[in-house]
Amino acid sequence: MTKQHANWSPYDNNGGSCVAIAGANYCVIAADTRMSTGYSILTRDYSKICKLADKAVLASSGFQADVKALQKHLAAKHLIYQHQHNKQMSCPAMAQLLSNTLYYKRFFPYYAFNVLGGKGCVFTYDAVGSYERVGYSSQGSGSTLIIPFLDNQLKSPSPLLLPAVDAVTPLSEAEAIDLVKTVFASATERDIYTGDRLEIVVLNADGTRYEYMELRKD
Amino acid sequence: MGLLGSVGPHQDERPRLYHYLSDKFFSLSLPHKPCGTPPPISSFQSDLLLRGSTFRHPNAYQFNFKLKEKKMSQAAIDVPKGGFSFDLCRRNDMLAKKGVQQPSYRKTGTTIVGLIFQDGVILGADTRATEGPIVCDKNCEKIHYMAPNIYCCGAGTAADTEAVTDMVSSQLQLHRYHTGRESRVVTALTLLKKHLFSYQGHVSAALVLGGVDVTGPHLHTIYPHGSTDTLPFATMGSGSLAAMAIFESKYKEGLTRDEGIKLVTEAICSGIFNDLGSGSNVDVCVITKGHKEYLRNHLSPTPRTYVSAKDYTFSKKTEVLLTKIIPLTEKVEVIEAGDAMEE
Repeated sequence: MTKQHANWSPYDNNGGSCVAIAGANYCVIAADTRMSTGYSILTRDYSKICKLADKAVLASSGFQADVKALQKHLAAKHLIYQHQHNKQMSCPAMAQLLSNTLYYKRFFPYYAFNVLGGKGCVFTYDAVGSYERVGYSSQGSGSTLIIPFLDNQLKSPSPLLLPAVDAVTPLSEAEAIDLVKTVFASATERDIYTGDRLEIVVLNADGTRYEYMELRKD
Repeated sequence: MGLLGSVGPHQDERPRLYHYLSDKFFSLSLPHKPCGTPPPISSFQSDLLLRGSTFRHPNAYQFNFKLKEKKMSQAAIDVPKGGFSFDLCRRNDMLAKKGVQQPSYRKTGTTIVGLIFQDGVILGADTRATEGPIVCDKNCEKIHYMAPNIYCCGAGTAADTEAVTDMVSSQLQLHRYHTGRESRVVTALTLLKKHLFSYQGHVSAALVLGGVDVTGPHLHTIYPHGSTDTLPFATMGSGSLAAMAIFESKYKEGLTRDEGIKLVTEAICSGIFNDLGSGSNVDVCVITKGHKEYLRNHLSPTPRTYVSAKDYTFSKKTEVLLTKIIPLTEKVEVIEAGDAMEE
């Protein structure tokens, strides 16, 4: 019997950054489209954003094979939900489903870092299913650069306040999109795994809208 | 030998190796030798260097022997007067065994290239320096000065490439003062490879050395362990494969100056776009007989893609913590001590 190599790992990190910002009547979910490994770019045009339901959009970075498996699993669960309940899943329901799905693999986790956006809400996750409802969030390789900037611009009320204060941002939809473009242009300057193109999904009363913006390609 | 003697037989092998290396370096390439032996390169020896033969100082063995004797007779702590200090290696090994993380070096994931064209040599480099996944310098200089007619591109640990090129460039300057002649590329090559080899790859500098001297244009690559190549076109660094792909498909002999610069720029751009360790701008250095041109930021192929119309400002409220200044100690009055200074 041959021995398994001690350093072999089933995981890879394909990089990339995700951001979601929620306002009172909209949600902006954005991610870059670069997929890389080590010092190589695998593709410049891979979408990290998955529209799971009419009011639930998932952006994930990490290991793309795990992300893909997770998205397929959630899509399948959502299809069953639609057959059983004859309606689309709500965003908070999808948030709980995602958490349960991640925790189910607690000791062999999906290497995926998610932000889930719905109208007026954002949910942010770790790889094993701990999650929190927030007003804005960022995940992925550039998150350490993006979050302090968002914190500075969108000071959110403490989640411990009583009575609870809604965490949605006071920005208009256009201002939020401008902010997202700015943080990605800045993160691309300093994070080698973020770049190529920015994909922005805007959820509002009119439905879903996609926008794209070029980023640095170096 | 003083330092070696204190390392017991049960100790790890690494400190021994380091001390051995430091002694070795000491005996081979210390510029100011304490035992009165001649300086490292005299004009007759430089002939040996230029021919690329393995140069060894005639007194090297004797010198080494003397040194050993001297050390053994002295106290246990004998600090060498040249080379690097390895005093903390054992402490660091112990800390590492206890689980302390070593600090990381600034490694410039890099694309550096060089080629020979009809009138001389062209060197090229990107300008990105990284620390892991973070870009820590967006516009650094990787083409280092060696001599007026020789430049050297560096990849690897930033501190090493900078230090090793600076050390050799000063040795070349001294050699020029000594001989009154223009430095030769092989001299720089020999000095670099001797230094790198004596450190057995621990000085992680991968270099592309180019210049024009009395014997014509020369281009060399030097690996961190001290091996060298002599080539008509060369690439190094993490983007070397991307750049070499361009050179292999488009290089030919007898390129003109403009064709050469264009090809070098294209090779660097290939590294910038396809290798995540390389990025930002293209630096080019053209060296011809008796003339050189350093084209800093020759091309900036990646401008920022979005600048918001809105200004992002920091609220002033958060800046002022306290307006009253409380001195920690009472002010001391300085009394004039008379006219002591006037005497």
